[in-house]
Amino acid sequence: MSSGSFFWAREISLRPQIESRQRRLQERLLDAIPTPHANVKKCLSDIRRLLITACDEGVLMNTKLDVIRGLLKHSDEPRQMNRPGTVAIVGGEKNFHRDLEKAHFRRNDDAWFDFVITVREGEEGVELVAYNFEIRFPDSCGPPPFIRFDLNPPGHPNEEHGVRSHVHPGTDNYSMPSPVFDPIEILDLFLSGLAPRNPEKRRR
Amino acid sequence: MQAITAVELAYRIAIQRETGDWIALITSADRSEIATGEILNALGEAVEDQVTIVDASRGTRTLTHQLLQIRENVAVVTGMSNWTVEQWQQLDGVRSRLTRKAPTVLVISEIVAANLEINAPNFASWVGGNFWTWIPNTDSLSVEETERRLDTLRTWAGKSDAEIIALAERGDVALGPQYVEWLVLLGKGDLIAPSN
Repeated sequence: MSSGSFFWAREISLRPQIESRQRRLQERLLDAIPTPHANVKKCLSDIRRLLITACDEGVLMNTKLDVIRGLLKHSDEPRQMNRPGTVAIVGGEKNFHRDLEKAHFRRNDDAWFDFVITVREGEEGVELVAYNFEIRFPDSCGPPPFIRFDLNPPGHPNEEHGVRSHVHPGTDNYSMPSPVFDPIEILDLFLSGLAPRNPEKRRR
Repeated sequence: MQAITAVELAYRIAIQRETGDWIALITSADRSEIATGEILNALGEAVEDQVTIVDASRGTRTLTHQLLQIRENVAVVTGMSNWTVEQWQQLDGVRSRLTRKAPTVLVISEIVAANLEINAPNFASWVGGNFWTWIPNTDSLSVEETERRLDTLRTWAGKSDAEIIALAERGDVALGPQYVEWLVLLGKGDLIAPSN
């Protein structure tokens, strides 16, 4: 038996077991969804307050006016005739190419981030439909170059593989399961948690 | 006079929380209800403690009485549109009794602001540089901002709006967060699958 066919044989016996466990893990993670915000306005206002406090305290280099007038926005439901309650909350410009020229939130160590959250307002509050939060680190921070938290919407094919909610640890090529965070919890990480543990003693 | 949104004003007030500053937020008469609603919401967000709305339509004495009962609360005063010259003069006369320990926002029209400055000049000097013209909140994406985001999405995916809508309607598109945003910006949020 060639080594190739040996690995193939192992793969087909392992894969169903692993995928089944991955889906159970996902169920566990999705069961622990955050307490919903009361409505979209409250969700937006909680996010704004956190970001403005971070500006006031010098954690973010942006100004309050940057946050209020430029960076934090939501899609306009009535004008765009969305079904009631489906709203995109955006923080910073859309930025697929990690272009520093596009408007973003900038931390005092030059890490920078943007995000988009899609929520649906229902009778029991705001349901998280999808999100995408990416923080990028300057070279001086060492690896990883970025970390991205994605929540895909219900029915996305990667739900089958147990990674509807996942994190990209510095590369788009790899992802791993992640809990579903309240947007505020991810921003907490961006504002204080995700930084080198010891800036004087960086590990590679 | 500078223009300001309710959210910007509320965060300014949050910094002045311990002062007894008087602030005039000037709006057109037909939009004062919207302005009042926005400033109340915004203060609720920025100040994080009790904000009281005070109806001044019954005149100076009632206003003074109400404001003194809530000396430590941020107050939003409305209902001054029908005040007479005498009522403004009374307010000017009792201004020293209006010393408070929290900011007070008067939501007034341009005509009322003019009456205030003419008939209550001493009170107006208390307000000083805190006359602001209200403009609506700017937290909705403008048409241009929405179009810019849509354009970025179209370039990234190499697809048109019509193609994305068709794919979503057929239910055979892998809708990642970017596609979901795309549909919402197009006003097609109803095509996003409901949660189980």
